[in-house]
Amino acid sequence: MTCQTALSLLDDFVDGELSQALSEEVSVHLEGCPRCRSEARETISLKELLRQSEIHSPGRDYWPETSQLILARTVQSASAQEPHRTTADQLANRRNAFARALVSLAASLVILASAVVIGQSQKSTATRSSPDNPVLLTSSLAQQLDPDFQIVTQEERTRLAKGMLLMGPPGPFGRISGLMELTNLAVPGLTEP
Amino acid sequence: MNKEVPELVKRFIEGDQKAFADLVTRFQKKLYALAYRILGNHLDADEVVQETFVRVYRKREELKDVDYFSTFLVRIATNYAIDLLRKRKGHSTILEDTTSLPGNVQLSLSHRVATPSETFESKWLMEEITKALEKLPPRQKLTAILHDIEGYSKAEIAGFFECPQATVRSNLHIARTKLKKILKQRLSSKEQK
Repeated sequence: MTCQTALSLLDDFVDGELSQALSEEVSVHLEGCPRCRSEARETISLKELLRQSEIHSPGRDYWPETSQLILARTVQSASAQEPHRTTADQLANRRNAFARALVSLAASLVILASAVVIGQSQKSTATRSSPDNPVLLTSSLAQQLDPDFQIVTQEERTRLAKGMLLMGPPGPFGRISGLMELTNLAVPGLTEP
Repeated sequence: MNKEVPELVKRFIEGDQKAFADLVTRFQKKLYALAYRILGNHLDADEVVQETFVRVYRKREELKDVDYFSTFLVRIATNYAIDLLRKRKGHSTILEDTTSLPGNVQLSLSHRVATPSETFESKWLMEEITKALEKLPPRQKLTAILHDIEGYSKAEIAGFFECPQATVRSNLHIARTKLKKILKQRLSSKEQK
């Protein structure tokens, strides 16, 4: 066995991970090679040295405290959330929300149905005007469409004049003439020829 | 606590919170030791321990497809530790004076009480090794820690990093070569003893 082969197998040899046959071959090489033997010794010493390094515990109280902290962050926090989800209040809230949703839905359906019914009834009565099928107007609509129809009657005009008189314009003469009109009194000198 | 890990994991997946608490108690020391070696300080190690278990809890459904719980756990921990190492890149790790931590107890829990000189020597050795490990890139550092200190096999480490075993072998060889150079003095004095 060459030094190169022996050195490549040295770690596994020290770790006891070589087959018996290979291990014996390496042993034979190390007996006859001081350089490789020294390397093997160093590796064994390093492993022993590393194993000697003891770390210090933070103290006996640390372990139960840490366990409690871990459980608080995992098990307890998870179980603390569970009852929350099933409290009577939350169940009641859920039921109320469901009832509110049902009422809203029912109201929407009523409105929708009403709209459909009204729409259908208007559709059945509404017709287009044609010579064969004349549209019959209501009396008030027919009166409004009449060109001789006056919206403001004489009586209403008089009332308007009274209002104008009381409001002020068109001036003192206007007021007097308005007043005369109201009282049917003739003012001398102011009457029209 | 005497229950087998696969049984605990099965119950944990089914929603048994006590099983999760048992898993935390069983694995937290191992995880802390690993995290402390990687990151070199208590605060970061504590963060890794807590965050790892929180992530395991959240990903418990994935455990159905996992053969070994410890592999799953270490994979999450090492990935998180690598993230922390990268975040802290450029900020040199402050080596803690571990003797100042409350209730200072060695993790190896040796029954023999160490003499003051042994404690001092151990502290120095730990600092030297931590400094040496810090000079390695994250993957090489973690491979050396997981293999030579924590005792994981190359196949297991390949599983943690989801990479071929050849990559682990290569990383370990390079890490050991560098560590031997850095710790040359310490190693030669050890060999002389």
